[in-house]
Amino acid sequence: MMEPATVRLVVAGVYALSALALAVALLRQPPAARKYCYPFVAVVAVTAVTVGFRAIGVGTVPIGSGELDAPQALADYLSYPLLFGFTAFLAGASRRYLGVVVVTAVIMRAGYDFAELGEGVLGTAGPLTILGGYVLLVGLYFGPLASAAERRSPKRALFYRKMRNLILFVFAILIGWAMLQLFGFFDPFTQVVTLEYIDLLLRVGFAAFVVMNARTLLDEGSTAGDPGTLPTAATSTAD
Amino acid sequence: MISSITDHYGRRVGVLLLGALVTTLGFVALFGMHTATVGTADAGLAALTATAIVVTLNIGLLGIVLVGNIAVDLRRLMAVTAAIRGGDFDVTVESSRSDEIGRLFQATDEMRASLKQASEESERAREDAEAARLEAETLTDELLDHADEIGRAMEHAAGGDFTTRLPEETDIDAVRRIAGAYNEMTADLSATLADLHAFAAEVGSTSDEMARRANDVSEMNESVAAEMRELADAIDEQTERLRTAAAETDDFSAMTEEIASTTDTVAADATAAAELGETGDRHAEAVIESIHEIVDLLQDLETLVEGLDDRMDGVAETTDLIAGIAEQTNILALNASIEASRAGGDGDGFAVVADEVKSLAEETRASTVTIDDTIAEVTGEVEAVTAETTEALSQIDETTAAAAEAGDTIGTLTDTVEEIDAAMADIAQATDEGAMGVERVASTVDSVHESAETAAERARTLASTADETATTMDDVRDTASSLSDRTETLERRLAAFETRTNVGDGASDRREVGSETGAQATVVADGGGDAR
Repeated sequence: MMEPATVRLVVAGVYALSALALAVALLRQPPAARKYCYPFVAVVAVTAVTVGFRAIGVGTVPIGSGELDAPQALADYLSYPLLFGFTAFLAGASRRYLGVVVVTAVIMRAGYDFAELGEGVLGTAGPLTILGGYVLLVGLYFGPLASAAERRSPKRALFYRKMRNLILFVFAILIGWAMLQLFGFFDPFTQVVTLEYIDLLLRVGFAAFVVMNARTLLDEGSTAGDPGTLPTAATSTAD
Repeated sequence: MISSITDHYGRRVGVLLLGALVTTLGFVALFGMHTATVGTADAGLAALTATAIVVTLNIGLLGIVLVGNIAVDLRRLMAVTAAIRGGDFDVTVESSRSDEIGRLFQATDEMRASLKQASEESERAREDAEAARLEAETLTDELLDHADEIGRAMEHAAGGDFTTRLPEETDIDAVRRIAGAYNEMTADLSATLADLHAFAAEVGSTSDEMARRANDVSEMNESVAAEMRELADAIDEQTERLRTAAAETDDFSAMTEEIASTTDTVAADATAAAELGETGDRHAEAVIESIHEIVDLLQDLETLVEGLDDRMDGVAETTDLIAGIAEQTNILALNASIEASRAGGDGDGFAVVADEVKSLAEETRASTVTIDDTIAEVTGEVEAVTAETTEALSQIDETTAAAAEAGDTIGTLTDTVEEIDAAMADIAQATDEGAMGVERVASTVDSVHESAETAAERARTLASTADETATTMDDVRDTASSLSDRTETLERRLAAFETRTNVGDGASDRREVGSETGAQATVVADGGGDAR
């Protein structure tokens, strides 16, 4: 069967093509909306590189009893805070909530590293940190951030709800995957394939989702603070 | 197949479903080949785990997207329906979906168009309604005027003034009926108040009368109580008398028995008297016979007396002759005395013979006088005997008649005695029955005595009841007085009402409705004759 490196090379190619496609799609967006899309397209592009590095075996740093996959960590530390932070941004959260969300996402990712590389207390605290961080994010997204989103325009609130539901679900799957991986349910091939698939959805999928709905952010200026206003033309997009 | 899928899910959703299906199947094939290549159980477990992860991830994402889309479309539909409900029929309801959601959008849009048309028709109707409203406003103004009049009339009525009369000359049927009803109501209320006045007066009078009568009844009850006590005392006294009467009745019973015994004796005596009567009757007959014999004897005696009388007449004639001789002898003696006196001493012997002859003549004359007297006496006695005999005969006749009558009387007496005897037997029987009756009377008297005691007790109880009744009647009198006071209060309050009946024909009390507005003023208080 294919080696993990081969898989990663293929995935890196997919990332590269996706980045190109997203860039093209980005150009179709109004200039004012593009600024919201650049980070996601950039993350996809960076991820294409990091995955390529990993495919060729570059960036592995021995730490403790294990090895730190630096390209993977780089891509994750960029993408996760971006995804959670952007979702909070869609809700119109304050800087404090944005900071809490971003830091929580970083801590969760760090918890995975501790669980992967650490032993003893650190190895046990890693998964608990991930679970605790996830519960905290769920509380924030369905609590104060949801309330804040209801005060935004209907389209932006809808955008927020979709983004929130998708990211929480995918991260729940990712956490589950991490737990299974920590307990050794995967072999190297299935591990790489499933992880790259999830990462591909997280990065490319959400980047495409943001690019396609970036216009929503532009309507905020005219409808913010009037959540009950219905656009004159309601067109179903089925996206 | 594709069309059937897109018909149900829409094009984009169909693509999404197809992509997710292909992706999932691709991963399943990939993991299957991996397991087949490696051929270990761990590889199989890893492949299953990876497949589960992928399937779960794809299904979850697909579900979130589909549910999110449906929720979004439903929210949009809700917003559209809310806008339609708010009257915005220009809102665009469009959907590129060809599934049920798209058809729901289409149906909603058709409904919107239909409602828009209906709204336009409604607008036209509204314009018509506006015209009607203007007309209604005019009518309302008129109604308000009437309502103002009615309100003032009601205020007057609330203040107790029922003299206000509302005009009924209007084109508004409801107002006309209200005015008519009000006028009728005030007329009825006036009549009712008049009735109440009369009733209150009657109640007051009746209360006074009742109080007076209650007082009378109370006094009567007190009097009755006193009289009942007196009656009880009288009954006690009567009871004592009854006790005495019972004793006397016992004595009377004994006396009656004694009378019965005496009656028996009397009856026996009566029987004996009857027998004696018969004997007497017989004796009376014998007496009559004896009397007849006496009559015969008396008649014989009368004959003898008559003979004696005749003989006495003869004696008297003889006596008269002797008396004449004695007179003459006396005259001779007198002459001889005279001659002897003249013859002196030789005549002394002759004078003595003359004296002797004179004395004899005088004695003869005295004897004749005595005989005359005796004869006269005998004659008188004979005449008396004759008269007495005659009278005796007459009496004997009477006696005979009396004896006969006595015999008859004795017979009658005998019959009477026999009747008395029968009557005494009846009396004896009646006396016995009377004795039994007296005993019953005594028993009855005892019973009456007990009843009298009970009656006395009842009389005292009645006296107590009469006292209580008197007290109650005092309360009734107080209540009647209170009722009278309240009735006076009611009358004073009723007097506060001014009705058509008490206004009468006083023009100064007439009230004009609508005088404040100067329109449709109607003079009322026309005596109630046309109040309705």
